[in-house]
Order: sequence, then C-alpha cells, then structure tokens
Amino acid sequence: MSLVLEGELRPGMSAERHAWWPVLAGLAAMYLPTCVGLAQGTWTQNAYAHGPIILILAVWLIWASREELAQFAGPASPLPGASLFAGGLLFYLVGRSQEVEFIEVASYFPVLTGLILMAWGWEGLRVLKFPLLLLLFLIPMPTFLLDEASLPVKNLAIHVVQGLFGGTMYAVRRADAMLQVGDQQMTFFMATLGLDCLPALAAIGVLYVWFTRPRRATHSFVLLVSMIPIAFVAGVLHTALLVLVTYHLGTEAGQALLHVFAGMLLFTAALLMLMGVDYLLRLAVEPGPGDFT
Amino acid sequence: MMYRRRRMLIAGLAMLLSGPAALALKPGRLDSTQPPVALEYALPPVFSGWRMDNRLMQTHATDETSAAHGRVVRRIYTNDQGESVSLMLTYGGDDNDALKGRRPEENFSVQGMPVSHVRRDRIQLPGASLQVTRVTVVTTASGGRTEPMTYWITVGDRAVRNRGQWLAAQLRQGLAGRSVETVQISVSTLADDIPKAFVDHDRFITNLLAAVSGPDLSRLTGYRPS
Repeated sequence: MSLVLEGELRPGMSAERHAWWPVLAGLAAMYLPTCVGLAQGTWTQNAYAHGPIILILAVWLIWASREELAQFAGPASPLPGASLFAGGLLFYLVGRSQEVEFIEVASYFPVLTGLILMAWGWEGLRVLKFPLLLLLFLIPMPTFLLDEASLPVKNLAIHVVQGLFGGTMYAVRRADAMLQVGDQQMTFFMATLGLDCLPALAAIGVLYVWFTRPRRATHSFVLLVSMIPIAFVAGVLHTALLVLVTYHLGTEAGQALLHVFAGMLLFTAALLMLMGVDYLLRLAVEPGPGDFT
Repeated sequence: MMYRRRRMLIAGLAMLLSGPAALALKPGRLDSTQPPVALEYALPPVFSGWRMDNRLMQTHATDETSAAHGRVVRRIYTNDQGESVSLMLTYGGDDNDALKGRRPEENFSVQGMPVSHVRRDRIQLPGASLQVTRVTVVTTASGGRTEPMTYWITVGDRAVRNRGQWLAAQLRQGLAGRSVETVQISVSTLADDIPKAFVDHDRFITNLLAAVSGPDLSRLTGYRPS
C-alpha cells in the first residue's frame, strides 16, 4: 500500500474509529456478564484457570492489529458476515437464557467472525485468525467429552505410577483406581493425576508455538503433538510426588499439595519439557549458527 | 465506507438488545408462583412390603460426585424376605445442564469404580413403558462386590435416553418458559446373579411407582397419563 493512499485515508480515520463504538458497547453488553459468570465458576477450576490470560491476550492481539486493519480498502463480505453474526446472536440468546455455558461462550466465534467479515471481509479474517482461534480455549468443554478423553490416559498413568514404585519400600498396590501407599489409600480422580489440567496445557502449547514461531510447519506440528506425551509425563510426575508426600507426611499434606501447588508444578514441568523438545528440534531441523537468536 | 458505519451501528444495537432479550427468555418466567419441587416427599417410605431402612447405607456404591453437586435423596428399602434395595434420586445442580451433567456410570468410572454391561432397556408399567439404562458397578464400598443398577433420567416431564435428547428437552422446555430440573433415579442391589437382579429391580420399580401419585409420577418418570 502506497504512502499516498495511506495519507488519503488518515483524515477519515477518527470517524472510522467512532464507527466502532456501538460494536464495542454491544460486545461488552453481551460478554461482560458471561465473563463474570466464568470468573465465578469455570475459571476457578484447574482445567480453565488459563481463561483470563487467554482472554486478555486475545483482546490485546486484536487491538495490536488495528493499524493493519485500518488500512484495508478491500471489499467487505456483508452477506456471509451478517448471517454468521445473526446465527451467533441466536446461539448467545439460547445459551445465556438457558444457562448452557458451552453454547453461550462458543457464540463468540460466529459473532466475532461475522463482525470481521462485515467490516473487512475475508482479508480481515486472515489477519485476526490467531486471536479468534485462541479464544476457542475459553469454551468450557462438555464434562463427558473431557472425561472420555482423559480416562484412557488416567488408567495408563496409574499403571505407570505403580510400576515406578514397584519393589520399593513404598509398596504401592493397585486396586482399580485405588492405590494403597503404606497404610494410606488414595483414590484416583482426574485431579490426582493432574489430568484436569489438559485443556490448560493445550493452551500453553499453542501459545508457546505462536510466540516462538518456528520456521517450519513440521517443527510447529511436532511441538503441538508433543504436548500430549508431555502432559502425560507431567501428570505421572505430579502423581509420583503426591504418593511420596502422602507416604511421608500423610493424606492431609497430600491433599494440601494437590490444591495449592498442583497446577503450578504441572505447568512448570510441562513448559520445561516443551522447551526441551523445542531445543532438540532446533538442533535437528535448523542446524547452523545464528539460528538460536 | 458509509455502508460499513451503518452496518456497525445496526450490529451494535442488535448486540445491546441481546442482553435484555436473553433475560426475557429465561425459564421460570411463566410459573414463578409454583413452589420448588420437593421430590423426596414424592417417594413413599412404605409400599408393598418394602420399608425404608437406612442402616445399610454404607455397603452400597455411592455416587459421591452427584451427592456433592446436586440435591440428593438416598434410601435403602428392605422387605421381610431380607432383600435390600438402594435407591438414589438426584436433582438440580450441574446435572441440570446436559453438557455438564454426568450419568451414574460416568460418575462411577470417574471415581474409579469399574462399570460394565451398559445397555438400554424398557420396563413395562401399566399403560406405559419406562426407558431405563442397566449398568453393573463393582463397588469398592463392599470390597469389590457387583452391584447391578437400573436408572433413568427425566428432564422436566420428559424421559430422556441419551445426551442429545437431554439437551433438546432442556432447551425446548426452557425456551417454552418452564423452569426445568433434571432428575436421575437409580435403583441398585448387591447381587452376583445379574439377570435376576434386574428382574428384581423391575418388580421394585413397578411397585414403587404404583404408590406414587399422579403429578409426582409424571415428574419422576416423564410418563404422562392420558
């Protein structure tokens, strides 16, 4: 885009900005109450503790693209935009009035996509695709899907923990989802294994890839896929630590650890492992000096 | 450019109106005068040879997740033949939302109790059939005994078999202005002979529901007498 064109656009830009006030007010009227609801419930759970950070980051990314978007002179797509937007409002109405949080939060996607299409067309969508996708992590997954996804991982993790301690003084015995550690019994809920953190860990993986921006798509892809075994290993470490604390300091200390430090330990361990994988990939995929800057 | 500003203005107004519109669509606006449902009184303490006897509670599988999140009625019924049946009714809480609620078998597997033989079935009641689900749980409470269980779910006054129907019933009745509560009722016995246990459940449930009065019956089973 030439400087001349940009100069021509400048005078109109403050009026252009005013055009956005109704939309911003509307978005606030719709989604601030939603955020309050999330903050009171879903965001207090380990699985969605990443919610506020994701939201702030996405808003900031959209804000940061404003100069780039202001220069668009390309055609908007009012018809597809308006239909998506209207469908999104309908979703919002149903979700909010019937208190189905999943539908209420997910409605942001057609609403925002529709607005972007109406204002800037497909080109605008291309610019804003990352914050749009990032916001997907705000949607609380239906409980049964989350259970179903983490159940096989859970069973495997219990076996691995039992294997780790097999033949040691801790005499860990397993009966279904119970572990007997000394004379303490531990029941394995998802939280025990850190598996309730899976959505948050996935969000971390995506953010890491976006911020480090590997040169090759395969590199990004391997990083993202590696989040699955990393989450698993972090879960096993977390459980092993829990077994040790429970054995030496008792069930209460174990529970305290679970509630206070569990998330932090898991995220730190997962992030360190991800950085390790990234380092190895950089060594293997992008050899040569100057690549580590 | 002019068109864009007009579009943004219309979109903004539509969004500002969505908040109040959602409020107007909230269920319960039509019958706010109705007293809250007290389902524990709908279940008779004594019927056809069965008596409530909660001393044996600890031996049965407890669905702790439901107990923590919704309102729960748990009862043990015994009869003169020395048989005992565990009955659990949960309503409200997270289970009101089809996407957050868990079915009994999901709760048990989350708690680490192995669940097997999940299948759909029907119980013939006089003039209607009740859609139920059969599951078998291995309870940790009584040292690994099998506990066959028969349960069903109703949303408002409608019985649902799967999660799609659950969500559909929740939205349909909610949007019609009725406040909807999801009820899960399960009946279980400690037994090794599983087919026989399910026959016993059917007999127990038929007798129990025969002793429940009209409006409560439709609330508990989704069955509307014609």
